[in-house]
Amino acid sequence: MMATQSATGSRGLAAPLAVNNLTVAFDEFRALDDLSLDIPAGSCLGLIGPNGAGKSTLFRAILGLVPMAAGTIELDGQPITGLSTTRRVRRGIGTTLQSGGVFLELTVRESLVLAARRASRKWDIAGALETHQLAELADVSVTELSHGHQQRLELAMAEVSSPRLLLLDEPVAGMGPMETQAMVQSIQAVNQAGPTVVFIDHDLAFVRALAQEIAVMHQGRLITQGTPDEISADPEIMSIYFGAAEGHATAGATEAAAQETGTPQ
Amino acid sequence: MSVTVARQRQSTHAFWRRAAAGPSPGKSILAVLLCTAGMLIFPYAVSEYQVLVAISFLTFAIVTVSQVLVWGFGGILSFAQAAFFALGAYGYAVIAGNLDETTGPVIALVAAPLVVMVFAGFLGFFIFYGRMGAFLLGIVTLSVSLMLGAFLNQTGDASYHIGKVQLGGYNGINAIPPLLVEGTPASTQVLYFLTAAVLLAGVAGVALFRFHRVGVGIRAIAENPVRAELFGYNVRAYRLSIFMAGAALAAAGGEFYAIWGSYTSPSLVTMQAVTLPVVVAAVAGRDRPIAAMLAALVYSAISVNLASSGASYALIILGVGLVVVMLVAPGGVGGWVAALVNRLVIRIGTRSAESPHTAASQDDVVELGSTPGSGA
Repeated sequence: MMATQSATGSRGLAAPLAVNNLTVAFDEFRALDDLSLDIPAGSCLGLIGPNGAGKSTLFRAILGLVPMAAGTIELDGQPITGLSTTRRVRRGIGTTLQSGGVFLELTVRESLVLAARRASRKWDIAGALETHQLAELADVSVTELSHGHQQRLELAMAEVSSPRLLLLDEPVAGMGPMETQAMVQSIQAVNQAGPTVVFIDHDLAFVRALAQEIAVMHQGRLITQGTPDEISADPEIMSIYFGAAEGHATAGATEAAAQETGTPQ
Repeated sequence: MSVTVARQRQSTHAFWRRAAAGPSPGKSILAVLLCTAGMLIFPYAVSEYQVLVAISFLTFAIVTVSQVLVWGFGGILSFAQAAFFALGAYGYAVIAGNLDETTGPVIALVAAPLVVMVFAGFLGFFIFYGRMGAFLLGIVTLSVSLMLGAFLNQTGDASYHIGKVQLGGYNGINAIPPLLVEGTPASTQVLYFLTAAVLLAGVAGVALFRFHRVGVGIRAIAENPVRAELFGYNVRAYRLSIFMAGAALAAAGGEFYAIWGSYTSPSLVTMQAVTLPVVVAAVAGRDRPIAAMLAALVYSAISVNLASSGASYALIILGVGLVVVMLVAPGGVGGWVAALVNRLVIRIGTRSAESPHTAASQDDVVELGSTPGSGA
């Protein structure tokens, strides 16, 4: 059940992440409780769990945006726990946010210039615009873009910042099926070309379509980690994810997700 | 053939839309060139006295443009720009007054903004590295400015001097050394052109800075500092740098003010003086340096004209203007005018594309996929 994906060491950009006994507490409430997680270099891991499970808090802790009560975080074998957010990002952590991840007062081109400025490699901005199907919108103000285009732009910004670890917080929230499908392909392309990808989402069909592995969180703890098939086949996990009262609906939902993504049951 | 014509029309529409869309380096350069032409012609169209008076307008425009840099682009609501302006004037007076009369003014001209920049760096370090919020930042810069004014006001005693220059308390410093050109004080015209050159260089620099990658970073930090930090930007260092640059520009305005009047006084840092650049920038559009420059010049002209007729309604007019602008066009008059011009450009451009010489038949448009009846 635990991670078996081997690190793709041939890809220089990708970095493994190790979270060891991480605890984040807000007064008496433990948002993350002694959580440990290993993510091999180059993998694409989906992080699921009910609301309040601590998924976004884990991202914030990795980025240094919340104080840690205990534990360590290592990127590429090096501890980053004591570093500022800026230094962690410069070590190679990129992210997209649930909301407010783009700069509304910039144009699309300016957004990519901004994101690429501190990148470890030179990027062809025109090429990146083409790749993410944003070339025709290059000089348009971000505030004029549709939600889907903004999400696509944010992924493009994350890519040109040359991360070695890319954290995506609900990358397809609010998207339609076509846009979601396009986003799956875009994220897969980004992952294959470079960084380790960890993403949070509630759309199980999307998670199954994208993730090589899934980690399940509940009440600040890691419940389990495994392949999409292993996770989907575990009724206890599905019960936690959908809620015990909806246990009967779970099997149907899983089946529907599998049919939608073409994953065998 | 007719399909080609319809495509040409679509392409023309797209061209005019692109031409009218948002700020661009080309538009900024064109606007600065037009302003340069106006300022070059001005001294030859009016009397020498009017040129002399206009120099003080230019110095106020410089401090207003510095407000745009710091507030409009940097997102820092600073009430310290007038204080930096005053420090520039005092700095020039003190440095030039302690050196010989030939080289002293030139050295002071370069050194005063640098000294003010260091002071701003010291102040800004505590503000930005102390992670002060936007509200507190405004309060602190306002307090520092007013404290500076209060301090300068009580320096009337002879013990308050730097080298051989007395600070002069309420009366300030008088008989400030002039700039010398070939051994004689610079003429009104020379001083006008020097001040205008500094103003135009500042306006062009600020206007084009928004398109430079560092300027893009500054604008991003102003909009969402946490997100900018997540792209690896050192938010505090960027903010401190822009604060210091704005201080140097304001100080440059202050030293030309000192040269122009041969005096400087604490009246440069009263409550009114401290808030004026902020209000004028807000009325013009706080991220529009050219509009801010023009607004500062217009406000100064109205203010002087009303004062000469015995009335002092300029501030009231400005206050009413601010309220109206905030209600009608919160982005400022500059943004409102730019939007009007942009609409006009699109209308004229697309009309020319739809003239009988280029119009395609309705069939052509249908052929290109438009809804029947909605085309030509």
